[in-house]
Amino acid sequence: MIRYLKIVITGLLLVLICTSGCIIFAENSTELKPVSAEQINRMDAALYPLTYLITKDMEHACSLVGKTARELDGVPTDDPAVELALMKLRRDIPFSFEAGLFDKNDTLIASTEDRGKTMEIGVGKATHHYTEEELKAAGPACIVSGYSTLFHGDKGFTFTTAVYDAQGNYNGTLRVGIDTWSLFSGINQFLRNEYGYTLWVTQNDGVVIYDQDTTEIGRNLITDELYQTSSLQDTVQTICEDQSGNASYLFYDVTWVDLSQINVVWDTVYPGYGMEWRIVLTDNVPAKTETETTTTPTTEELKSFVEKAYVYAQTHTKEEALHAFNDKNGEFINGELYIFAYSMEGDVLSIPYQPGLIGVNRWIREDPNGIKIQQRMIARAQQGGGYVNYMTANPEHQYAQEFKLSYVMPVDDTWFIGAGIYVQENPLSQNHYVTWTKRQDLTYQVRNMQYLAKTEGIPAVVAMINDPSSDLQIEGLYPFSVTENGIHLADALNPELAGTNQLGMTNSLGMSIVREVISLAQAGGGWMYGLLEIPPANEEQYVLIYVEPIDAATYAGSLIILG
Amino acid sequence: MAISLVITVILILVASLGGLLFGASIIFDQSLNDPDVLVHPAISGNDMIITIYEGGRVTELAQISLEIEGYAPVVQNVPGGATEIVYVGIASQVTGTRAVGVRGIFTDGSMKILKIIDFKFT
Repeated sequence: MIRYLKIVITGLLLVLICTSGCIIFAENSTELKPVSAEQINRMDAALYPLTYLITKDMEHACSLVGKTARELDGVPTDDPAVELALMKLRRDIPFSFEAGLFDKNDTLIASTEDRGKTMEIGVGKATHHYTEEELKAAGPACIVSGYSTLFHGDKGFTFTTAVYDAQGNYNGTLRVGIDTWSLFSGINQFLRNEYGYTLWVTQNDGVVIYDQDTTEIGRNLITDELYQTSSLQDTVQTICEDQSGNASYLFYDVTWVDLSQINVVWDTVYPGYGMEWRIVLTDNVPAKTETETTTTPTTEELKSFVEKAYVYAQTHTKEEALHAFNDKNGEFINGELYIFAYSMEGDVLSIPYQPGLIGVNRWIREDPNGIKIQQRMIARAQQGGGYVNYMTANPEHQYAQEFKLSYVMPVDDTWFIGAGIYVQENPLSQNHYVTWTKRQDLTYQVRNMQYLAKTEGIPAVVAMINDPSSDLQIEGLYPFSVTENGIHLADALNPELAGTNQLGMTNSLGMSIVREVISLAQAGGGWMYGLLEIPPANEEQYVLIYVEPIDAATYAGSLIILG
Repeated sequence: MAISLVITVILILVASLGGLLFGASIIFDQSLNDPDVLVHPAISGNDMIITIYEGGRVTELAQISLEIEGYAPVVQNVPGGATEIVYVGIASQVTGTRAVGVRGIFTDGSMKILKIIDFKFT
């Protein structure tokens, strides 16, 4: 009897093992479907103009670096012409971070960077070393580095070219850090909105230098465990080896749970000496669903929801609070509302629907328009809390990028909490987007104000902002300048604000745009959204703002009205 | 004799330390679970808004003193049942990062610091 029982149990176990094997096999058995020639042609037709455009952008930027290097040959570093040449170069390459001159030992000797701590003159070191022979081998082209953390802490790549002394001897290098997110995110938005495709870019060694999901940037497609599916590895190998082509592979969809077929076409850009980029266009952009499944909470309900979590966090230990916030079945989930928590350094502490992100640092996370999401949240939390705007993927609309309004509160000086709602009526949620050329115009205009302030003086810049026909003006953009104390020196959108203190000006969400602008400028500058009354109707509209410091006490900015 | 004395001393020390830690943990838990008054300061333009949430002595709260580093404290009355006290224009000249303290003054005349936080005004 016992013997029969053993046989039955063994048989059952075998059936169970075989069945589970079949289930596993079934999950992985998704076969790639053939892709029509028409579809490949359509994708190629969208890709090739962009690779041409990126190639031209890179050639232009490199030629500017080379031209500036020749202007600096034989010029002593303490000559004011050096600083002006570097500022002009940075202005003329809007997707650059900073420009710097380094001696033969890779030590920084002149820079556009004035943040001191990371770029101290005579102390800061370049992250890549090139020999004189390598620089000569590049000829008139720039050496393009691999994607890495640059000398000022940002991530991107550098253009490098040699600089010579008055006798024509090698004397050091001129280097410009390039922001790959700024370079590609606008092109990606264009592709998504105009063609329904999306973009990722990899070096030919497999390192991703751009993906719309910032968590993938910097990973190596060949070695990173995230990409170890056989169909993807085959495709990655082909992409790295072949300069152009098409392929299909299986990869996780936006849920990071299910696998789906992704079809790609790619082409190569040679951004300079020593580097190849594969520009990969994919068709995995889900169509945005229009059906509303939930009622969006009001801003008051959003604030109350966060305040409830704040009280909980203040009356429980941090561990208890984070456990409650991360509980998908707990009281801090209410429809589309959930509580997220971050450290003041940008580490994820709570994010109930994406537990895999806990512990991940999101300090450099950017939205498609360059808004550094966590950095804006932290700045707002350090003002005691309030509303923050940014774009992010909406899971209720097939993860389309939509405009989000979040409310954040600091729990103490080390961490903060928040929650957000999607703002459907915002133009950026309605397939409207800011073209990358407009964003480059904004950057150029602000950096031009920096340059002109150095050459002509701040009063001359103020006069140019106030003069609608000055050379500074660019159609559709509204430059302004503000002091560290909140005094508007000039404002092209609201000229009557000149000379007034605007620290106290708030919008309907209680946000002081001027305080935010000053905070952003003091952090080195960058992008932010604002809700402003726009004349002559004085109705509130969202704007995209770019700001940078002119000096320690004066800041320059410009904005574009969204919609 | 000497050994038993040493053991007794050690036992007393261990017991004292345990009691101290236990007591500290009770005090800590009580301060978390039952704050005198839970408040939160935030800035809106030039105004500072102190939101009053809850607490064991919230009904006894008579006044709030808002103290911004580098500026004189400003005291405002707390009407019964108030959930928000607005300090209009108090931040009109305030920029940079400063410590902000909120002190509660209760009906029995006692005072207690309810919140201290570093604030980035710009």
